[in-house]
Amino acid sequence: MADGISKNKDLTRRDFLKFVATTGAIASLSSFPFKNLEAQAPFGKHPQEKPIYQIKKKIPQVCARACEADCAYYVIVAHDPVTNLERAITLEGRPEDPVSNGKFCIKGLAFVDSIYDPDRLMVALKRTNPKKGTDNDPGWVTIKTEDAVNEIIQSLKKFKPEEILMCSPGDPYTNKLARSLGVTRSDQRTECFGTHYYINCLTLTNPPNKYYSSTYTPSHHVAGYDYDNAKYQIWFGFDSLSKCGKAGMLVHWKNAKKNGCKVVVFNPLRTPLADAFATEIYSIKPGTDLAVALAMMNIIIKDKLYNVKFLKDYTDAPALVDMKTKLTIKTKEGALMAWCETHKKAEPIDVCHKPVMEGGPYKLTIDNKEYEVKPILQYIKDTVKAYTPEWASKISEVKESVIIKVAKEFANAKPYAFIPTYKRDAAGPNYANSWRLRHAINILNTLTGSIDHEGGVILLHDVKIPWLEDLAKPVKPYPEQPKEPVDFRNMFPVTDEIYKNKDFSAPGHYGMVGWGLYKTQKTKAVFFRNPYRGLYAMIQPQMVEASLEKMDLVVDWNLYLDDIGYWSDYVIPAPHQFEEGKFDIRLYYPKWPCYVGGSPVQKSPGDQIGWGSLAVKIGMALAPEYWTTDGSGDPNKRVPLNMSDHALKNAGIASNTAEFMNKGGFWINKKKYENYKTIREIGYGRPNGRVRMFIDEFKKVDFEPVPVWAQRWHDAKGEYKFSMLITRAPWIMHADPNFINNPVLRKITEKNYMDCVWINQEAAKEIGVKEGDMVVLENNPEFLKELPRPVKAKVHITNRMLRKDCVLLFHGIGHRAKNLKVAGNWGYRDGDLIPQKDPNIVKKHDPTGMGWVEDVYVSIKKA
Amino acid sequence: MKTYAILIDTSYCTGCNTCSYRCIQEFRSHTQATNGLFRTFVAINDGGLYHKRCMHCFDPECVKVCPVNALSKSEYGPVLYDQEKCIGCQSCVKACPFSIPQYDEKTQKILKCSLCAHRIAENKEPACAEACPTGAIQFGESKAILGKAKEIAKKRKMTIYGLSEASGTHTYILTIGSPKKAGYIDVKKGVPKIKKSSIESIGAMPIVAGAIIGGLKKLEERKRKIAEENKNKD
Amino acid sequence: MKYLPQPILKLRQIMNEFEIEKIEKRLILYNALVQAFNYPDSDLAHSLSSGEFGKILHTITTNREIDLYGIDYYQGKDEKELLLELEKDYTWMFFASKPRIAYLFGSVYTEGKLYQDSTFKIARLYNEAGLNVKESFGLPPDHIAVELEFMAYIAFNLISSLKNEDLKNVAYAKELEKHVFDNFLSEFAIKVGEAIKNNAKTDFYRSIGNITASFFSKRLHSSFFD
Repeated sequence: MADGISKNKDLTRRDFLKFVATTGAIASLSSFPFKNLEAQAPFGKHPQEKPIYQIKKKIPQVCARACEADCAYYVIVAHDPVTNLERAITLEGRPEDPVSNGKFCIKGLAFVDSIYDPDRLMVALKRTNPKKGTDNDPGWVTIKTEDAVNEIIQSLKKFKPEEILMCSPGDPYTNKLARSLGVTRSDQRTECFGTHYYINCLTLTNPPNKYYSSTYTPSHHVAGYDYDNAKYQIWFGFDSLSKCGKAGMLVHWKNAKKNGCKVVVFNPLRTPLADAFATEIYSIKPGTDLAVALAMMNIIIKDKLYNVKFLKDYTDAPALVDMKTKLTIKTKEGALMAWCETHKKAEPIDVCHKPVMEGGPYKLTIDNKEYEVKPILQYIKDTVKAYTPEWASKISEVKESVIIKVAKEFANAKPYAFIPTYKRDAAGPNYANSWRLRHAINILNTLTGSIDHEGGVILLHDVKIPWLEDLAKPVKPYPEQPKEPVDFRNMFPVTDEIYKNKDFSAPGHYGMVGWGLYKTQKTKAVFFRNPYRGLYAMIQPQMVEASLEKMDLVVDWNLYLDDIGYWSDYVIPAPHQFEEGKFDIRLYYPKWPCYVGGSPVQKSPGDQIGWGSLAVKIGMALAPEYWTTDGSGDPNKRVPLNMSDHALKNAGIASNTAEFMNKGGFWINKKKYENYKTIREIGYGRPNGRVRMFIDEFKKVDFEPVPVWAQRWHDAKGEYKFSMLITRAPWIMHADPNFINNPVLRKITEKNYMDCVWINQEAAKEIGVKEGDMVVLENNPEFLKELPRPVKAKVHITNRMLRKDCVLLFHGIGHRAKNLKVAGNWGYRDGDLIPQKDPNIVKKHDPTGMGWVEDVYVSIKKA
Repeated sequence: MKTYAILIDTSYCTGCNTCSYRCIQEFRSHTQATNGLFRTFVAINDGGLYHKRCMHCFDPECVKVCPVNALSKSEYGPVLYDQEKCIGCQSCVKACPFSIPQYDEKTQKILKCSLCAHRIAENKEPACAEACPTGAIQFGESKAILGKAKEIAKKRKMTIYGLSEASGTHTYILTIGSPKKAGYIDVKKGVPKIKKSSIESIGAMPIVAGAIIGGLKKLEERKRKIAEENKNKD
Repeated sequence: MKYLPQPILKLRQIMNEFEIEKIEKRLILYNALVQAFNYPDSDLAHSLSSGEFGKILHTITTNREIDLYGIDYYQGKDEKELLLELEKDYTWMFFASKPRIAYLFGSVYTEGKLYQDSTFKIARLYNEAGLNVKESFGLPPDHIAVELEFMAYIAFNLISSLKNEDLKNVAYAKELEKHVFDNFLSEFAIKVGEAIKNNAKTDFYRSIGNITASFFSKRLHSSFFD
C-alpha cells in the first residue's frame, strides 16, 4: 500500500490542506467544480410550489409495434412545474378514432411503463473483443452515438453492396437506404404478414396505386374488415390468443356481436375470443382448413349461390383462360377478354355487355391462332369439383353437414359475409399450403361480393402519405439490387417481381434468410433495425446465431441491449416509440378517410438516435447522390423528409404537421362508404380495376393459378405426432422487452399458464404427464437436420385444447439476453423448434416462399 | 341516496386484463402486482373467465370483523378501505366469503378494490370500466345495472353471480353456465338485504362522501346526455 | 458575535476548523466518487496513473477502515490502456452485464423503474437548493453521480456558510445533507457499492464500490462526521 497512509491518522489540518493542495483535490475547495449540475440561484432553501406533480397534460399518440391495429389515444403525463420533469402515467381513449373507438389495450398501457424500463439502452455500445457469441465477453465500451455512427459508416465502406444485409421492415427510410446502397433488405418480422400481403397484392391491390402510402406497407394491408356491419364471418384459426388483447379489433368484434353477426370458428384450440364472439366453434385438424375452404367454393359455385353482379362487373370471373397454357387470354393492350353471350365471341372484358361466367370450352382465333377457352369461374368450378364436403370432412375431421351448412349460410349472407385473415391464423405463413388457403379465402370473399363493400372487406381510400421518392425523385435510377440475395428471393419470381418492381417494402423471406446466412458466404455485414424483438422472434435462431459469429460487422439499432448483442459490434440506442412523432392512416378500419398524429411524450433520456436520422446520416455519407435533390451530395441540398407535411397540405387539411398537431392531430371525413368504388382505382386492369381470382403468375412458375388441395410439408411420424400450434399471450408481442421485461406482465402470464405448453387431458394421459410437469419437445431429425435445440417447458393441461394431436406454444418468451432483468431466461422459445427452410424445398411447395412456422410436428416427453 | 354497482358480462370478456393493468396504473401498485397482488384480475380458466375482485357486499363480513374500521360500507355501494387505518391483522382475509382481500407482506396491509371512489368523486367511472375494450365491465346506478343484468341473463340464458351470494352484492357477474365452472367461489346465497337510504342523508355525510355524490350526479348527468345524443343520432 | 471574549472566539474557530476538516473530507470523497461514477474519461485515467486519485482516497481514509485494493498499482500505467480498461468495466457493470450488476439510477432501487416519484423528489431538492441538472446531461436526474455531485455541492456550501457564519444556510445545508444521505443515497449507494465491490473486474471500481458501501453504511462515520 502507498506510503503516508499510516501517517495520515495523525495528519494535522495544515498537513491535510497541504496534501490535498498538492494533489489537486483542493481545487474543489475554492470554487465548486460543477459537472452535471449548474447553479441557477445562490445556495439556500428556495420556496417551491407544493404538489410534486400535476396531471394536466395529455399528449396524442398512436400505438405502433404492439399490434397491427395502431390505436390512437392520449398519453396522460404528470408534470412538475418546478423542475419541469415529466412522467407518463397512463392512457386515455380517443373516441373519435375509427380504429380504437376510444379504447386501448394492456399492451398500450405497458408501453407507458416501458418508457421507464431500467434496462433501456441509453448509450451506444462498441465491442472491443472481436470474438462473438454467447460465451464471449464483448468487452463493451460506451461510445458517443455520433462517433459510433461515423465508425459504422467507415466500416460499411469496406463491403460490397451484395455483402450487406439490412434486417428491417420496409419503412420509407430503410427503403431509401437499402435502395440507394443497393443492398438487400429482409426482415425477421414482416413475414408474419407475408402470405396475406402477397396474395392481397396479386388479387386486390396491385401496388403501387393511388393510395400506396408510406405507412401502409409496414403492416402490409390495405384491406380492413367492416366487422361492425357484417352478418356472417368465418374464422379459420383467426381467434388466436394474441388477438384477445387487440383493442382496435375487439371494439369492432363487440359491435358485430351486438349487431347479431354470426361468427363460425374453425380451430383446434378453444380461445376466450371464440368464447366471447363465436356463435359456433368447430374443432379442425391443423393445416386442413384449405380443404374446408375448397369444399365451400365447390358448394357455392355448384349451387350458384355467388354474387352474380359483383363477379361480372368487378372481378375476373368472366375472363377467358386458354385451356392449353392455363393462362388468361389478353388483348394486345393487356386487357382481359370475355365471351359475349349475345355476340358469341371474345371481347375485351370492359366492353362486353353480356359476358358468360360458366360454360365452354369456347373456340376463338386470335392472329390466326386457335384457342380453346373457358371463363375463369368455370375453370374454378372444374378445379374444385372433386372437393366435395364429404372429401373435405375426411381430411379436416369437420362434419360434412357442418361444411354444407356453413357454406350456404355464408353465401346467403352476401355481401355482408367474409372471412377475415390477418397474420398468425391458419391462413398466415403457417403451413406449406397456407398461401393456397389465403388465396381460397380471397376467392370466397369475392364470391359473396364482400370485397370493397360495407359490411365486408373495406379498402383504404382517399388518403395518401407520400414516400421519400415522391417528395424528391432520385436524380438517377437506384443501383441494381444484388442478383443472388441471401434470402433467396430471386428463386421466387412471383414475389421478387413485386419486391423489385412494385413495392420495395414488401415482406422479406426470413424463413430462409437464416438458412442463407448460415449456408452461404454471401453476407459479411448485417444491420439489424431491430424492432425490439431480438433474434428470438425468429425461427430457428440457432442458425442465425451460428452465422452471426462469422460476420465481419453486425450492427443493431435497438431500444435494449438484447440477445443480438452477443454478436453485435455496435448497438445504437433507439428512442422509445412514445418519444417519436407519428403520422398515420387508419388501415385497420379504413371505412373513412382519416389521418391521425402523435407527438413525442418526452425527450429520450440518453444518447438515442431516431431511425430516420440514422438512415439519413448513413445515406448522406455512403450514397450522397441519392440523398440530395440534385445528386450533388451537398449537405444543404439534402432531400426533403417531411412526408406528413406533404400529405396534409395535399389533402388541404393543414399547411404542415405542426399546425395539424396544434389542432389536435386528427382529421376524418365521415362520408358514406362508396361500395365497389376503390377496387376500380386500385385493382387489376385499372382504371376499371377488378379483383383477380385467377393468378397467371402462379402458373408461370408451375403452380396452379387457382387454389388446389395440398398437404402440409410433411406428416406426423412415430413419436413426432404433436402438431405445433403457436400463439401469444394477449399482453406480449414477439420477444419484445417492452412487454416481456415488464414484471407485472410476467406475473399475469404465469398466473394464466401462458409460460407453459398446453396439451389436453387425453394427450397428457398418453405421454404420462401431470399438470406442472416439465417436458421436453423435440423435432423429428428428418425435418430439422441441423442445429436442433429441444425445448424444455412446463406443461399445462387444459380442455381448451380440443384435440390430442396438438400442442400449443406461446411465442415471445424465452429471451436469452440475461442482462434483461425480467425477460432474461424466462420461459422457452418456440422458434428453436421451427426449422429455417431450404429454399429448394420451399420452392416445391410455395411460390411466395413464406415461412411455414407451424408446419412442425414434435415429440413430447417427460423431462 | 342512489347506490352504484358494477356489471361484468363475461360473454364479452376475452381475458385481456386491460382492466387489471389500468387498475395498477391508477394506484401505481406495480410492485404489489409483481408480487402477485392485484385489486382486480382476470383468470382465463377452462370453464370461463374468472374476475377476481371485491364484490362490494350489501352486508360485508370484512367490515364486521375489522377491528380498526379500516373497512367500511359506504352508503353508495362500495366497501371502502382505508390503508392508513389498517393494522394488517388479516381478519378480513379470513372472513371474506369470496376470498378477496389479499395481504401484502411487504406493506403489512391488505389490498382490495374500493370501486375507484376517488375517480367517482371526479366524475369518472372506475378505471377498469373506462378501459375495458369490449364494454364487458359497466358501471352505473345499482337499479339500472341490476335491471340490465337481469335483462341480459334472461335474454342470453346467463347466470348472475353476486345477485344473491352473501345476501347480495354491488357486483353482478354474468356467466354462461355455472359460475363455479369458471372459477367463482360457491358462496352461501341469501335474500338480498338492501339498506334503505335516501338522498336526504347527504347532510350527515363526511365531506369526501359529499364530493363523491356530487361526482356521481355529474356522471349520471353525462351518461344521460350521451345516451340522448346517441338516440338523436339514430 | 463581536461581544464574545477572544478566547471563546478562538475556541469556536478551532471547533469550526475541526468540523470543517471533516466536511472537507466529505467534499473530497463526494468529488472523487462523482468522478468515479461518471463515465470514465482521460482526466480520471490521468489522476489514477499519476497516483493522485489513490493519494486522495488514502488521505481521507485510513488503512484500518477500508481496503482500497490495488488502487495504487495504477500508478505509472499507460493512460490509454487504463482508460479502455475502465471504460469496459463501467460499460459492462452498468449497461451490459448479464445479469445487470448495478443500475445508476436511484428509482430503480426504490420503485423498480426509471423516473419514479423518488426521481421527482430529488430533482425538487436540487431545485430547492438553487440547482438545475444541465440540459446536456440527458439521463435521469437521480443518476448516482449527480446525487453525489449534489452532496458535494451541499458540503461545499456548508463550509462556506460556516466560514461566513451564515447560520441559516449552515442549518439548511446540514439538514439537506442528512436528508439526501438518509432518504436517497443510503440504500441506493450501498447496493450499488456492494454490487460493484463484489463484481467489478478492475481494482479501481472494486475499491470505489468498497468505499461507497462503507461510507454510506456509516462504517466510516467517525472519520467523516462529528
